[in-house]
Amino acid sequence: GDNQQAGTDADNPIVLKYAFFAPANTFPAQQMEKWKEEVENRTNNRVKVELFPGGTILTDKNMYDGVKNGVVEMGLSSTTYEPGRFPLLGISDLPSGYPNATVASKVVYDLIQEYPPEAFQDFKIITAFATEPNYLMTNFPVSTLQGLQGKRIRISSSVTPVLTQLGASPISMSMAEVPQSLQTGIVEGIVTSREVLKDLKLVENLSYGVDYPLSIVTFVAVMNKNVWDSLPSDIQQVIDELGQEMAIWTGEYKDSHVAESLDWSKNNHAFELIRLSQDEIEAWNQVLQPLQDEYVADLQSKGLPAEAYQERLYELISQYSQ
Amino acid sequence: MSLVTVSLLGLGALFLLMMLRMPIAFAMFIVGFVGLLVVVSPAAAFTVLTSDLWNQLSSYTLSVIPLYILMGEILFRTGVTRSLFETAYTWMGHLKGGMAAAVVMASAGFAAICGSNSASAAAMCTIALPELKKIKYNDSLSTGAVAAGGTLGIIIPPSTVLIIIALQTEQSVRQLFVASVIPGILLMLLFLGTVFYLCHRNPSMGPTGPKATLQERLASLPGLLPTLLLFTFVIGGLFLGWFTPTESGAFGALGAMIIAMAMKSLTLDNLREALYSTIKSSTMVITLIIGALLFGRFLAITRLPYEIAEFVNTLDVMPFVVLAVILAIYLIGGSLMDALGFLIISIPIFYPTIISLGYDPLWFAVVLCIVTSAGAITPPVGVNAFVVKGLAPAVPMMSIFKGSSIFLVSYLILLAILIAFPQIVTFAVK
Amino acid sequence: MKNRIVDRLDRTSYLLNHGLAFLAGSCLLLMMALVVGNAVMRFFGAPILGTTEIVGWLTALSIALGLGYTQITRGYVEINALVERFPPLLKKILHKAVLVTSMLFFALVSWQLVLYGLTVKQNGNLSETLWIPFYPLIFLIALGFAGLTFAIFVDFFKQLVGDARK
Ligand code: NA
Ligand code: NA
Repeated sequence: GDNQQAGTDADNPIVLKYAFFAPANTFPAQQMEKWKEEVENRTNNRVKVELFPGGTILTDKNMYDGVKNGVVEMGLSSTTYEPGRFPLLGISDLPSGYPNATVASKVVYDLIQEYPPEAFQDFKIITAFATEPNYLMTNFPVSTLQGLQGKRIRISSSVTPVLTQLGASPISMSMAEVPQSLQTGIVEGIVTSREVLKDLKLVENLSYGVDYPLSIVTFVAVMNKNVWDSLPSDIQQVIDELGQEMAIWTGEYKDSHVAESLDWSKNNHAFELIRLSQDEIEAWNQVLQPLQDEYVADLQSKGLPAEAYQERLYELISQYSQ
Repeated sequence: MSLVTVSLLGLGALFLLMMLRMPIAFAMFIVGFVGLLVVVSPAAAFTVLTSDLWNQLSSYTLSVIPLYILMGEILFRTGVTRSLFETAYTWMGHLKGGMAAAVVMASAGFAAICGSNSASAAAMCTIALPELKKIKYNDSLSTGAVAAGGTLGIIIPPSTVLIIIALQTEQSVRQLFVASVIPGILLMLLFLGTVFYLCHRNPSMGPTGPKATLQERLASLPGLLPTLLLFTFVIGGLFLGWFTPTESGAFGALGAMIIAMAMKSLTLDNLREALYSTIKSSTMVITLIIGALLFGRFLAITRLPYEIAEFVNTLDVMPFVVLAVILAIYLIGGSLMDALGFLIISIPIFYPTIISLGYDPLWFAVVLCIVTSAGAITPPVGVNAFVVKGLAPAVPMMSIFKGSSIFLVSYLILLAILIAFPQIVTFAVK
Repeated sequence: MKNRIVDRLDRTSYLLNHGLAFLAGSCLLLMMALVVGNAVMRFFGAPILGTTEIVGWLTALSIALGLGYTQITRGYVEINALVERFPPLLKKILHKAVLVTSMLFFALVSWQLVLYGLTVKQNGNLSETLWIPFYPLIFLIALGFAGLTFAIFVDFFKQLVGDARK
């Protein structure tokens, strides 16, 4: 196309290709749909967003490099899935007592503004949000730490240390293998966010959940820096306005989706959410807190502002939880 | 030049290179890469090429392929399959096409432990083709039966394709698995019917042998034992939850070694040959899969699949016509590119349309799985047919496609049955 | 003289790619053992941490280190129906063109994979479960493609000097 002309009117729009690794029905992809709608409306269709969800062009492993090298203009991926590359974000990914996805998303969005990751130096950050905290869901009732010892629990890799710390036996397998493995008893539970109960019908094999929030998964949407710099300033402004708005929208979307999944699971499959006693909650805290503290100390010793980041994390959580 | 034109040029280039005898995997690699380079940029093409190569090669899901091939190779090199085959020959050899029918049934049995169609085809190839050759079966029929039989691997559960459809359409994997058992068996029966019909009409395709006496038949039975043991172990282990579908490949390979050892037929030479041969076959299969993926990336970025889908969604006709058009697109799409890649791109676009027309989600998922697996044996891009070609280099590609295309009739009959009687799919879970 | 160079090259490619294929086969056996071992250990409540990603790596090595061997043993699928009908001269020219295109492409792939490995190193990417750097494996994959490139080069060279023995 003729770049001089693009973006001046709806007949000759600026085209932004926006990619994501998971299918179109997942909540991050729904966020992309919403963002597309908002940007196109607010710029009077001077921007046209083309969505590529489902990993058809880039996957979770090469999304950010792909955006940097111009495969697509924009990409959405999870920093949690690339350990080592975003050290500070690793702190807020660990269990911190987030009440829900909305708070987690607001917190993560702010933290990224205040502590822009070095790995995103050559990118424009479009928005950031998070899942609800992961919860433990099992096919046997868990009300104490003791009851979890040696149990075979499926994890997504980022949660491995959390489960080891809790005394369970972490097993990593692809989500695709989970349903049959649950059915045959290869695994006895999973740790993930709770919409899978309904979306993947996992409630068929998972009757219990423990009401204790674990780690979160962080998502960051970025744009190629050169593309960003080439955008007219009024369009940049529209996109900037949308940053926090999308973080909140996505958090709320996710929370309502989870609530719906929980209701459905309780009503149709007698799913039971187990509340831990105060003593137990303290016991779990005591086991898990050192994980984050040690990680923070390690990063601090490498010269990163990890302690300040951790302090700000808890400040924001309590601020947004009110 | 519009992007759709570019994508059509890319398709043309792919077929040209293939016709000029460039290895098919190489051709898909090169056209996919150059396509990305032209449509986006060199830097973009390099990023996609290198990171996809690494990520796909190092994916756990693909690991099942070399493991299943290794199982087949060991059974083959140590003579276990020969005795299995001799038993089957003693029992069925006097029937017209009896041995090709045995291949189809063995494929179905294998499909019940294997989740991938190319792994199924590859394993059956190493086991059955040399034996069929010996008793002078028509090449086209043998290779066609193996290629088509392999497609049962993703229709009869467990199946990677069904899992992906379930995840994309938010359905229960278990329900989908249950629902696809009967269509899978139906398809197997249709394949058997095809084999018998062909050999009845033209007996030279599947020469009959002498009819064995009852004593001979009974005496041949112990030849079944090792395979029966192994299959019982692998399938039993799966259902009892000893291991996952992916792990069953490793247990199968180890089990094959143990059985061969017990039969005193596992030598160091055998093992080495089996390993080299496995490496060669799995490299061939996996480069094809990654090539198809890379080529699919190029098609996706030109938005050709999306344009087609959007066009269908705007059609203002009867629901059945929309369904027919969509199924036709899947048949064509599956013939042009890797079924899995095409599914991932197209489900989010077609699925909502189909559901809004009132079709049952479970039914559509199963039908989709069947249609796309047919793509693995339809020319010009039929992954299963390619796999068979790689393992039976002496048979011309045309003969393989000729043989496998006959089985497409079974697919069409099955689709007609499922459209007329959707209960076949849905009753199992209701 | 020509024949001696061809022999040398042939021998080198044979040794290199058989060596790599031997490593590939060993990785495959190791993978089988690891998968079985993990399932058995899981039965006793102590699965081997990181099995999934190690199996992925071993798969990558089994395939990539077998690339050149597959070329030497004519394992890649090709369609020869059309080319068979061409006049011999055209057939030879086309064959050389296909070989040289493939050779250049895979040389490029192998070089770009080295660069990709360096990027992954620089990014500080760690593996998901074990949290260890995995970029050296990418260099091994690049080596596999280098083996393939060399095997194709030898085929091309033989065509070029008109190797009479083939
Ligand atoms: Na199967
Ligand atoms: Na096809």
